[in-house]
Amino acid sequence: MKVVRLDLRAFGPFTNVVLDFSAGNLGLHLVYGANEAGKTSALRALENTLFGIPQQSPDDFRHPYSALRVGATLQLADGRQIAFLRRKAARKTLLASDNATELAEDALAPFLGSVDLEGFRTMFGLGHAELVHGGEKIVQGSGQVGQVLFAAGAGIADLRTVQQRLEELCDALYTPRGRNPRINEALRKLEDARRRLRQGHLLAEQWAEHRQALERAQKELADLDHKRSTLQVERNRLERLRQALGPAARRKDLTEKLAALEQVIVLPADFAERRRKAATQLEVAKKEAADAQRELQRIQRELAAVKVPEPLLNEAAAIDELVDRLGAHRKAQRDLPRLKEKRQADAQRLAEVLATLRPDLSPDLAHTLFLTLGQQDRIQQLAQEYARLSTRLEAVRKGAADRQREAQEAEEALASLPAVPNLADLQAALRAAQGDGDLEARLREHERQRTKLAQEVERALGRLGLWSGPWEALEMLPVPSDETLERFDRDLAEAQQAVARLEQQRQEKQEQCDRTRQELEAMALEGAVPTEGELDEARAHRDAGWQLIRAAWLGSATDPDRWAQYVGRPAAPEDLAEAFTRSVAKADELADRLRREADRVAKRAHLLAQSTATEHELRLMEERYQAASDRLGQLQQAWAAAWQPAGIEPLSPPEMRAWMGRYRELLRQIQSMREQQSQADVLRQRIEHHRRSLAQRLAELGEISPLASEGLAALLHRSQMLLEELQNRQQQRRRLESDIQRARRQFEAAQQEIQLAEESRRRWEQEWSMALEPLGLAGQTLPETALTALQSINELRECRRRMAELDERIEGIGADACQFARDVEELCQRVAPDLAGQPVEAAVEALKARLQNARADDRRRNELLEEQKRWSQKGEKAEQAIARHCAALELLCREAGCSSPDELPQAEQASAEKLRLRDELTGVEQRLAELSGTGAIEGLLAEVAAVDVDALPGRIERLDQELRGVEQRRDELQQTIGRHQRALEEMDAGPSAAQTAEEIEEIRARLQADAAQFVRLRLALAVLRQAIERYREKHEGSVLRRAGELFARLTCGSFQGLVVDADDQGQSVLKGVRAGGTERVELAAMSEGTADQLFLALRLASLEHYLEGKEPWPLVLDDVLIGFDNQRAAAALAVLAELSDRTQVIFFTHHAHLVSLAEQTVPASPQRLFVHRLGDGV
Amino acid sequence: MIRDWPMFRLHHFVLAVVPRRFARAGGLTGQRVYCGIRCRFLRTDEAMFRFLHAADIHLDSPLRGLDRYEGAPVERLRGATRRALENLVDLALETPVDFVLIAGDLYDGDWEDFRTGLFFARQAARLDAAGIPMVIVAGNHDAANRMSRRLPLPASTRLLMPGEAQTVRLERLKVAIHGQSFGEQATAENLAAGYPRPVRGWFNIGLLHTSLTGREGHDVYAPCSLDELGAKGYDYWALGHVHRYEVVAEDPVVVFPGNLQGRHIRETGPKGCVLVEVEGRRVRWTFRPMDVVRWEECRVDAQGVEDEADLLERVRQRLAEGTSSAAGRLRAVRVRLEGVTPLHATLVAEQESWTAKVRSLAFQVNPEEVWVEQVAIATRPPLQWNPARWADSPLGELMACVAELQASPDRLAAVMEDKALRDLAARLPAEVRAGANLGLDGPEALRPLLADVEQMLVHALLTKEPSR
Repeated sequence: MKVVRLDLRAFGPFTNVVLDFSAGNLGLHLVYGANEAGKTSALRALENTLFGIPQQSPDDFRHPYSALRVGATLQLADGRQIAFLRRKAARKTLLASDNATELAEDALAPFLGSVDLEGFRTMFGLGHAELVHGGEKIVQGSGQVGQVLFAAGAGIADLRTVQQRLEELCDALYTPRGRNPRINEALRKLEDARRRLRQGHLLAEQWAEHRQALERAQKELADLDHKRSTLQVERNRLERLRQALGPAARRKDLTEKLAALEQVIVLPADFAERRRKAATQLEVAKKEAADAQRELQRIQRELAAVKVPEPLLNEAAAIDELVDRLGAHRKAQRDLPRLKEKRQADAQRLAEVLATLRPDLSPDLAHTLFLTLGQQDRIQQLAQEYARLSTRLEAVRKGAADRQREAQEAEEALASLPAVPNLADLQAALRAAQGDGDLEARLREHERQRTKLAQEVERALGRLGLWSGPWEALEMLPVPSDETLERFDRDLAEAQQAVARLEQQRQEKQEQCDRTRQELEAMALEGAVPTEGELDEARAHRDAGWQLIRAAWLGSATDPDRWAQYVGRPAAPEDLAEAFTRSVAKADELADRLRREADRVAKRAHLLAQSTATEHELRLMEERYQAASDRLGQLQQAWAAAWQPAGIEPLSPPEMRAWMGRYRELLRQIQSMREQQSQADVLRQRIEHHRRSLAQRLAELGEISPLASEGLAALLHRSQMLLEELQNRQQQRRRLESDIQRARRQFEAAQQEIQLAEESRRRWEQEWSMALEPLGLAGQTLPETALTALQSINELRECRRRMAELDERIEGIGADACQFARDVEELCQRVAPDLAGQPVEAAVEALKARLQNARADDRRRNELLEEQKRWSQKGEKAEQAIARHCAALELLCREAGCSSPDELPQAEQASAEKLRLRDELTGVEQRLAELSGTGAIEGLLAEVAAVDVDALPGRIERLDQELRGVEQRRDELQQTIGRHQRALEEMDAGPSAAQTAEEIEEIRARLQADAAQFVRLRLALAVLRQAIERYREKHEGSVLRRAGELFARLTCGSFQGLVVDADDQGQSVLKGVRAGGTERVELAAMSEGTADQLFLALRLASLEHYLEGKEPWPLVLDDVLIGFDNQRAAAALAVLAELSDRTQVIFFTHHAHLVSLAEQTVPASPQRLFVHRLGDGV
Repeated sequence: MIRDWPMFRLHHFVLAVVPRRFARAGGLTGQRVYCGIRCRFLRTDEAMFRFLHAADIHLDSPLRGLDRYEGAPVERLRGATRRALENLVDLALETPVDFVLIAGDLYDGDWEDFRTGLFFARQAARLDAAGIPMVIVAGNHDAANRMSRRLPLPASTRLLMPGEAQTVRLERLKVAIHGQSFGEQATAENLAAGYPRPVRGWFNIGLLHTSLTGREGHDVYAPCSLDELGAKGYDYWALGHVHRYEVVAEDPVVVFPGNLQGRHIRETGPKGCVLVEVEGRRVRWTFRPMDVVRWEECRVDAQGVEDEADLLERVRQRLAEGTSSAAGRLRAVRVRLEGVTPLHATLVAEQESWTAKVRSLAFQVNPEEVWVEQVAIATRPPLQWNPARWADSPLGELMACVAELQASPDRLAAVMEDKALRDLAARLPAEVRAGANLGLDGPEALRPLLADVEQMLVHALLTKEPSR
């Protein structure tokens, strides 16, 4: 099957993009897409087209699921084609290319064969990651041949992992000696549970024993309970009686005492309290009344002692004001002397300053010196301008001097630099020489080439053979032409063939001849075959004998010689008879045999005839063979003769053709050697030319002429250096000349500036003398001096201002003092005439003191009046309380039946005693009622009266002992009952055997499942091992051989192939063979890249092997060559291109360099490589 | 007239809650479901009475084949046969019935734990306390049981003796119960033949543990024919031994109530007892489920399912469907996946993980209700690989290997010459090896596993692990 066209109609990033794979036979199709161009989508599209779009497709980001369409045209080797579209749906996903007609789901089946998606991915898809992974796994694995082949053949990188996983699963289930695997553990648990089950069966006897013991104990317990309750009843009765003894006696006593107190009035419970409260409050009221009286008298006395001067208090405000003014008055009097001193000091300072400035002026006229602000500013301004003008003048003058100096220095430097000659010629010569490039290097290269060629020629000459001599002679060697060679080749071959053929025929004849002879011999060995000749001979012999005998018989002469001849020895007559008889017998026998063995006779005759004929043919054959040999010899001589002129003894024509090839190659090499030589000569001439030209120029410039040993490069270098130096000097001169001109121009400008500055200075001097005039200073006065004078004048002005101020303050103080004295005098007249005439300050102080006293007296009087009012109110309240409490006490006395309050406490005591006795009686009777149990105490009292008091404790003690015995027995019985009950409960409810049985069933179920799984896993492992081994047996030879070739190519000859070798354990493992064939490299020792190449080689070899005689199926590769260097990638592309003769190869890549590499590497003819670029139409 | 029956309400109840599934599981026809009560005319002058007829309780016999797993409702499984017996007594007390019949196989063979007996004694005591007598014949399993003789049973519980048929007379009801226990385990003698003649004018019941003329899957014990039973002139034959509810005949009524609690996957569907009402001349009987664990086979059609999640969803639905019929009982379910699906290889190769997935699903459906006994993979692969097409590929070799092993047990034996397997075969007790083909009994036993193994290997080899 071949993909003719992939139609990316609406899929992933594509809209109506078509990949046309129809070109070529099957072809290596390189699909290139940069990142984002959709390479991966296209790859997925191919897969989805063939096998359907998966439910969770990621390719819906541009086209919605419903619109996804991807299609293809497929073609089988027999030419059948199908064009279809695939859409994403649960069913009916195939459409005809019109995007409307539904196709049957199995329409693709003939095209896909039995390849499903997994099969496609595994057998016909290979990505870079898988390649690397496969390479890694191969290297990591033990390299066992079976595994490697199986893994590569099925495209399963992780075969080892698969096996390991199966083994791990097995081990997790069961190992013969393990404890923890699941089956082992379950077996242990099963054993344990079965043991428990055996132990756990409960025996009926045990149960019955416990049951009986329990029943016995329960009955005894019931009896004891009854006895215990009887005993307790008696004991309780006696105990009650014992407790009732005390209360009964007490009751009697109390009844008697109460009878004695019958007359006593029972007072209310709060009576005593009320009485005590009334008495206490009366006492308190009386004391308060007395206190109030005493205090009022004291206040009266104090009020009488207080006197207040009213007039003074009326003038209090005026006195306070004078006291305030007294402070200010005192301060002014203190300041006055200091102010006068200051005024004096200022007057003195004024006089001093004026003396230094204008001694001619009196201090009173000092103000004539005071300038207006404008005049002062003008002087300061001009003083500043003076400084600026002076600085400028100085700078300008210095500038002028500098420029002059610079000009002089430049002129000196210029004078010291030598002049520069004309450089144009040198430059021209240099450029010409440099323009030809590195002639000497080229010359060296040519010479090296030539030398190399010469060596090669020498070597080739050595290898040429048959001829020796210098190579120059070789060119002239008169070798026969190719046509001659061809002719001899043909003729000699024919002649040799003819000789060989004839030789063969001859041998065949010989063999035939030998066979005939052997048959004749064999016949002879079987027994002589009678011949007509022998019969004739025998008959003749007989007849001769008969003649002799006849002669003898007839008495004719006997000839002993003839007899001897006949008999074979000197013979007597008897002998002759005997011999005759024999000869008759022999002739008869021969005649008989001839008749009897007619077949053999005929056969022998035939053989003899054949033998004769064959021998004749053999002779003919030998003649022809000889003729052919002669012709061959002649041809060989002619052949040698053809080479005679060259002095060569030729070998066979084919060998000589090869020799001619070598000879031509040698001629070609000689030719190129000559070319190298001539080119070297040309170069040498050029070099000489340039050398001469440069030497001449240098000489012109006064340089020393070059030495013969100085090469062109050195000369060039020297000239270059010289040229640069001279050019530098020229530039330096030009720079100096321009420096001089510039300095001169600047000097002139400076001169003009000096004139301008001096003019400004003169203008300033005029203005200065005018400005100084009001000060009376000369025009030549320096600005500093003038500024100092200005300062002094300002100081004068300040002194005068301060003096005026001080005068004003002194006058103010005097006026204030007079006013104060007048005010004091006036007040004294009004309120304290005794103080009139006193000094002011003393008078004011005295007034102040008197006012203070008057105020204190006034406050005291007011306080006393307030206190008097309070005390009189208190006195009234106390009197009222006394009356109230007296009335209350009167009422209490009446209630208790007393005549006076003093008798009340006694009445209270008697009442309390009666109450206490009553309470106690009630308590005792209550207790008795409790003890009686029925509430009626009379019965109890009667029982108490009847009982023997002394025997009571003894009886109780005996009952207690009995009860303790009963309790003890009960405890024992209860324990026994508990024990039996527990035992029975345990037997009943304990971990039941039924539960254990259930547990056993659970374990059994688990074991069955696990054991079945274990068996399946073991079986799987065994089957897999066998399949691996069988695959190896069947395919090891062919696949490994092909993989070895591919591996050699993919590693560019770094390896020469693969070999199966034994490892340490004697396992067959795969190893790589290094170029040269001696070094064998284990897979584990291979580099990552090499491992990738090995895996690729194995995969491709397996695939080729698999495809033999089958329908091709496209191999889809996804950037598998990323890890290859350029050389190996090129080799891989070439291999893939060859593979494309067998099956279509579609190679997706992100890498542009692979595209160009492929274009360079894969031969253009026949065209196998087709490049498709994604991204243009997207 | 029918409305006047005291049992009318019960009749309604039966109609309401007995759905068709019971009928299917119990092998009944639809018609019988709606008329689960059959009538037979008897005498007219007697009062109405009721009794329960149960058999094959196999008390404390463990449930088989339930592999305990994480999340399995273990506690609900405990003592299932005991709970079922308790249900029976509860029903007797609630109804209430006038007596209870047990037609053999109360215990389970060689079971020797006295506690089992004590438990039964307690239940008998409950009936006794309510004044309900119980009549029992020993079946083949009871016959082997030694402890039952010492059991402290109440006086109202009558265990009939072996040796000859006896009659228990219930004077108040005018009911005569005839029966005979098994004296030894394998009773090949026709016991029915020796049963006495009916008591004239009374309601006669024959209590018999028998396989009749043979029932599939059950050993032959106390054989007799239906005609023979009919000829006895009894009114009701309370049979036991066959573990499936079956009304063998209606005149007279001959009933197998089936066992009280299913104990393995071959005993699916509702299990329980028969409540019999006799009023005047009519005999009516109703099947009443008593089981606490119900066995069912849940067949899931995986035909054409391509996606794991889809398949699991189907399983979930099928599991959920069974919930209502179980009415809160624990369901021991065998999930059986069937049909042609591309998931077949995955299912076979990852059977264990699939079992775990289905069990976790069951946990989602109802963690307290479903115990997935087993996940049986009976699916088939969609595409048979064409071995010829793959002839020269490793996978083709693998398939060829499997095919050869299929054909030749000798080669299979040679391939599986495996020490670990022999060791395991020696160590697994016979009780574990029985009842399932674990592939440990020679090449013939291995052969059926080959197809699975092939799928497993192809799946393992073709599933690419994610590249790093």
